[in-house]
Amino acid sequence: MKRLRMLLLLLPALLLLAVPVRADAVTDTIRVCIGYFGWTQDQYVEKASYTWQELDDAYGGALSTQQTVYSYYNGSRTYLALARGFTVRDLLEYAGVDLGSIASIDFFTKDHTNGAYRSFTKYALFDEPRYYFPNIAANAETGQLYAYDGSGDLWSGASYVEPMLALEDYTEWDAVGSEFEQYADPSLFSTANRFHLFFGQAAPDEAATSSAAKYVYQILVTFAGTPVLTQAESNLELTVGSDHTLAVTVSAEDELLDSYVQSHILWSSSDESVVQVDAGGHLTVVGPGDAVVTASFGSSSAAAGIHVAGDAPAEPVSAAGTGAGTGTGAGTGTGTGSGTGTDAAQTGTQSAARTQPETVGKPDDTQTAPSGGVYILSPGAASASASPAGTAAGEQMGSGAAQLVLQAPEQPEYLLPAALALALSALLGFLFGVLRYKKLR
Amino acid sequence: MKRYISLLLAAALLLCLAGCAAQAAQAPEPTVSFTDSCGRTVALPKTLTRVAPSGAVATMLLATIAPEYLVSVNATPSSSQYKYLPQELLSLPTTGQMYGSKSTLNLETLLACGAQAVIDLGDKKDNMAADLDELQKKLGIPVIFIEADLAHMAEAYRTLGSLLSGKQARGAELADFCEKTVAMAEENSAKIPASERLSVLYTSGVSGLDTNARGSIQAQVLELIGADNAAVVEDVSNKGGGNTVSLEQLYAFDPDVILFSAGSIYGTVSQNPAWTQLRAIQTGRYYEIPSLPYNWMSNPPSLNMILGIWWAGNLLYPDVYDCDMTEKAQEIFRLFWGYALSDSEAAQLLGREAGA
Repeated sequence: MKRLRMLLLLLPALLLLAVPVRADAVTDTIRVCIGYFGWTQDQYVEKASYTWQELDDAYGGALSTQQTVYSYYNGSRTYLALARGFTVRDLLEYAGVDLGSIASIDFFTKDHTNGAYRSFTKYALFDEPRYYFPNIAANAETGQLYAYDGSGDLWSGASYVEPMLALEDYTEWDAVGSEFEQYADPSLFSTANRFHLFFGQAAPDEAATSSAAKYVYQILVTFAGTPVLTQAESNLELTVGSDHTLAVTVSAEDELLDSYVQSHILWSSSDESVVQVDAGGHLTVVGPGDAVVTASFGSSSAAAGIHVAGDAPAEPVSAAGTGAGTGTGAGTGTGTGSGTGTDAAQTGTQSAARTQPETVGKPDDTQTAPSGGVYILSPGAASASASPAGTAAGEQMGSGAAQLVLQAPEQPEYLLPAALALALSALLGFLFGVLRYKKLR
Repeated sequence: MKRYISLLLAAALLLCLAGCAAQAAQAPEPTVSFTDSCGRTVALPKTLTRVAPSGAVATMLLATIAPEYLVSVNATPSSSQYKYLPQELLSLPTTGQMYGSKSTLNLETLLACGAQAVIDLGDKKDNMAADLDELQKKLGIPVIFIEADLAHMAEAYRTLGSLLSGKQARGAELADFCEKTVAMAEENSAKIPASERLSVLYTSGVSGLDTNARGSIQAQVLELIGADNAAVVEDVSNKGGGNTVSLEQLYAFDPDVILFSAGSIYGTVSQNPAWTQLRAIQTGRYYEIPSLPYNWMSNPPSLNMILGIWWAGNLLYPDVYDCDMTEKAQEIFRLFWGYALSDSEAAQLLGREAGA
């Protein structure tokens, strides 16, 4: 009876866990997250999070707000908005995001009418001029655009607009800007669509309403390029039985990303009969020979050659991919080293999670290797893998050869079965325990 | 040995369960039984000081009786509304609303805001009891509905006053005013002979053709004050945008007076050939409804309608609804919102009612 009562008491808590959250909903907070191409959404790192009050200067917030009219055309109807808010540019700068490094921006929204997020390249959002067209009207029957003032000039009165996240707005379908401006005023504002993305039009006939989004709650900023991993030591002579810890430095577009990548590095050894490496980069030297120890994160990696004196194995150990990537990705990162490695054999395949932006890789993305070989991955080239049967010549470890090791992080495939087994054991244990307890009593 | 392991396992799991259960079983709050306007009997905390509104009407009524008890709002007041409203509203989390064209109730936020109960106020809707039961089940806290259309507004305030701790007097104060206003309107309306009743169109939207038709919740004020709602349609809509009519219907209605919501074509209608042949436009009997902090006629149909009764009554039948509208607006702003409306602010709000 007591047990039953206990379970009944637990029921509300279980019900709470089961509450479905409605998808379309106003939001009070906006998050800015940063990351790189190829990263999954949960790998993006939160750069900043603000309540609307912290941002709205009308209530003592940090950002200057402005009132702007935006026009849209959806192919058959016009849509106008009077909005008050801050520019996306100002928000990102306030959050400390380097605008020059951005490749693309995704706005995640709780308005799922057109999907969970809207994607823009940096060019489309910040570099391409965007306008408000007060003179466009759409024929109610044909949907064709025409100049409302009869001049035939759809561009008449056009003005530049900046992409905005609105705190409050008033919108109207089938309105014409020149009239809308006469009656639309702040007394009509509603905050019910916050944060509402407006970005205007590149041309009068650009149909972009499907890219508009209300209830924006998160912005994912994707940087061009990729984090650069560098091993402090690239060639080591070790003896059997000794141990050593390798260190990796990370250079990304943001310090937060440095820390994130640093804490998620995966280590691997090309030959565990020579050297083994744990999750912290700690080496255990097992036997004589040569091995490559690779630190990797996503599509970035850096390797160190390990030579253990003694009777070396007959087959030299080498990494398959060497030098700068020449794969099909748009990346242009280069690795330079003092060794003799070649980059002839490198091929890369693209596996970025989202559409590749128009520009990937900053001009200043050149990554210099410390002497002795550094292993840098080209941005966008995500999945080439090291192979002991590499064809490049002159890559013998310990020779100081520059090595580019393109290695996808190993997936712990045993995790899912292990978790299932654990859960099953716990359940069986519980049932067994209860039965035994009953029997004992 | 096996026996000990079994016992240990069972004990460990029971401890986990007991820990959770202890939290769930923490001294339950004393409750009172309450039967809401849907006939649902719900146990409400006896000391009720943290409430979440389910929509705009509830936010408005609760903000006038006990703003400090609100733990959320349906939407943050806009920058134009804010100065008139209790300052507490600005810092509260927003949940969206349960009903209406902008139905966006965010259960996640509702759960997080620590409400003892969710209160829905407004007009009765179909399947409401089932909706509220479902919401209550999902949230695990009481959800109640109190009818609060114009006819029930005073009663709604009294009910709220009795449910919310220490708010009986405040509830009675607001209820009395609503009651007197509605009674005054009924009395005045009865004085207006059928031959003198004005036909009035209450409309909105960029086309000016979105009408709140006869029988609509949004048009309650017109009917109460003794006006004939000119828009008669089938399948009456209670939404803010009402029923969209055609120009042909508009000319068939040909009202004596047209009331435009803010954001409609009030400012341009005198130059719009499609409208200029209407009697109301020709005679200059068209007006823009004051819109702050909310539209004075409805949308949402809440306590703003109390102000609308005075405004529209005085506008249409000044001899019957004889009052100084500036003073009346100041009195209502002070009573409901605690806001001292200045003469110039009142003049500004009332400014666009003079016709062309």
